[in-house]
Amino acid sequence: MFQYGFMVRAFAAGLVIAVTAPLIGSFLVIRRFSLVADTLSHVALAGVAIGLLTGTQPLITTVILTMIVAFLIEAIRSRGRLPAEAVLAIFLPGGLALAVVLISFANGFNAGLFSYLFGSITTVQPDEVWLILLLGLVAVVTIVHFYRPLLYSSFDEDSARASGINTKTISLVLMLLTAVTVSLSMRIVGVLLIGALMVIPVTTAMQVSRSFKQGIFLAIALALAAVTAGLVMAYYLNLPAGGVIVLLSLALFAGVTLLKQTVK
Amino acid sequence: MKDDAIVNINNVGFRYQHEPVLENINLTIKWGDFLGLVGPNGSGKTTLLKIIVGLIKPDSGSVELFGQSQSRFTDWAKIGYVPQKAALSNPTFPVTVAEAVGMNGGDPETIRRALAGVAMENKMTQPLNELSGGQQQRVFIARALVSRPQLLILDEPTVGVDIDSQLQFYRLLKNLNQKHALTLVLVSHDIDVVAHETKTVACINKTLICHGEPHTVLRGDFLDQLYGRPVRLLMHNH
Repeated sequence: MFQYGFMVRAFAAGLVIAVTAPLIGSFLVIRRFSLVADTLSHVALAGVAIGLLTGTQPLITTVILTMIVAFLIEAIRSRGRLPAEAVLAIFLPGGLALAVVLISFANGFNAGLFSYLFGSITTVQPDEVWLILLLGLVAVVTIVHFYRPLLYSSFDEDSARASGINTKTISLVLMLLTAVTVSLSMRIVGVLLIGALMVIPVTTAMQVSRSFKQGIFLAIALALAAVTAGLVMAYYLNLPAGGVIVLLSLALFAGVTLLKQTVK
Repeated sequence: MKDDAIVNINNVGFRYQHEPVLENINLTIKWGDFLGLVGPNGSGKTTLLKIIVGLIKPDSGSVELFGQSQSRFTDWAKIGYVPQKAALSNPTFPVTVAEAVGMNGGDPETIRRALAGVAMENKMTQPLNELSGGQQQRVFIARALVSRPQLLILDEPTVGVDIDSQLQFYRLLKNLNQKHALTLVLVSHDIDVVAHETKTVACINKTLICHGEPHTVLRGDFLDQLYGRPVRLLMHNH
């Protein structure tokens, strides 16, 4: 399997995603903001369309567009005039609508675009691997650096602000990292499924972990298991990687839930 | 410095959607005080606390903290704040007692000492959502204490806490105030508790109605003015 360059690249990208997606997702879930990943993934599709239309590397156009929208979502949400989920419900179809219109300019769907929707193990290009590794490293280092204020402001925003933490900046950093993670995950998992990898391992881990840190490490371990097994199955059974990875994550969720019920 | 005011509130006013919530509040909180803020529901007590800790900007007037204008004040570690309903708003949040305290900084030893100060040292690794409301409230005080504040502000800390835990809780506050020279501000709707536990009382109902020692301030005429109806307090000593 590893004699093929594309599989080495798929594994390199997949493992980066398996670390970053649940790491960022942990903070989104506890903030009750899980659906922001899905919203940004639909915006990401518009980013891909812009890239394909203009002949630019789609990963770059996607990172830029999702970061702009992440900034807008946070700006509107933090003003507090609209419920957070309503803000997401505006941008999710907005992103998809923009994508559909842009795609029609490029004479409709083609195989390249389909792989962005559901993920593919054969499509990660050598230059993309380096970009994914770099962005993944940036995401992990940023989370580690801001870990304490991120946790505090997710847990109790008023107390965090009163202690001198700039909670607006912290929220914005988390949103921008979500945008980056969604963008770098779309090649393997696909834009329509990345939200699942940011949320399902986290909710699985939360059921059995006794501390937040333990929950993060367990979620990453679960995601690593799902991505590794998913890529192997995708290779040998010729299945779409994103779908297999998400189904395996769901199986782990169901298994842990059942196990917990039985132990009780 | 010891005789100086920690908080100076000058002519502070605040409106919410054109409705006045606070008007012309002048209040000084002195070093070593244990101030109880009382008033009926919607009297602006919580708003005043939020103005002191910088969560809300007043529409008029000014606030000085530790002798400095609030807009230039940056040393927020000097002020500990335990907001209303600090008890878990998200009970599924997987966090241990030590993690909850460590959110406000501090190395493991500082966290352990802060928890020892509220007699919760033996619960460090326990998930916060497995504790009772009173125990959670102690953890949140430990979290505020971790930055070694000189002023601790508590908003209705004993709501939903059983009476035995409340007594323990006020003993803890008295100890912090007397032995550790921590200045305390406590908002409570329970005027009886405030009368017995605090050193000074400030009565608020949009405006500051009275401020002074409990036995001089919590008199019939002030209380009638505060609550808009006759209120009598049974003063008895513990």
